[in-house]
Amino acid sequence: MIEYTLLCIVALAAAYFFDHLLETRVGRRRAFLYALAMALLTQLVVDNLTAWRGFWNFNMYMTLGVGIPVIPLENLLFGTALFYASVISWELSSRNPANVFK
Amino acid sequence: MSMFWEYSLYMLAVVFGTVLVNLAFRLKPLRKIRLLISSILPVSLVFILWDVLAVYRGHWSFNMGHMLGIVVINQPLEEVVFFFAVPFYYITIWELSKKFSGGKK
Repeated sequence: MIEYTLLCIVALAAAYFFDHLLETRVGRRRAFLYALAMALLTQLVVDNLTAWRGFWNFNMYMTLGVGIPVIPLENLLFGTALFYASVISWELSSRNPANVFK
Repeated sequence: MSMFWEYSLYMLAVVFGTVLVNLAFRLKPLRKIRLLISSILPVSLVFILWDVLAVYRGHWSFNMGHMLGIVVINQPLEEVVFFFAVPFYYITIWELSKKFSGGKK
């Protein structure tokens, strides 16, 4: 079963939902696309290098089976979800006047 | 050839490189370190939980030959560090991107 794929879709949908619910709306900004492109480019290089070096093994039965070129497509979706969640959390913390950590 | 320090070296490189970028462009994340930690922490906990679940369900596995051998639940220590180092990198490139796109919508 493509569990990894499904989890990625749920995570991305949740990030999109929270981006709108919390009114951070980072996904709509041009800077988001530039930063995401940079994040994905870095991930492509580093993850393919580490996968080639044998840091981890992916169970292709849990994915769609699409490799880019070595890592599964889902790994990029995982990275996108982590990026999206990090940026939302950062913007939310930054704008909150009651945040004691500011 | 497996080198047990390899993954930790990658993590050190990510943190070191990200700190350098922050210093070079005088970015907010390093200047507001408590804010940075408070925003990274909830994201890290959720994604570590995902990773624990993924390893348990067999989505992926780690080759401990490239790692220090310290295990937290079913995660190598380096993987736990990953979920703090990488969001720091992501927030940094987000701030950098905002700076160079002139805050355009």
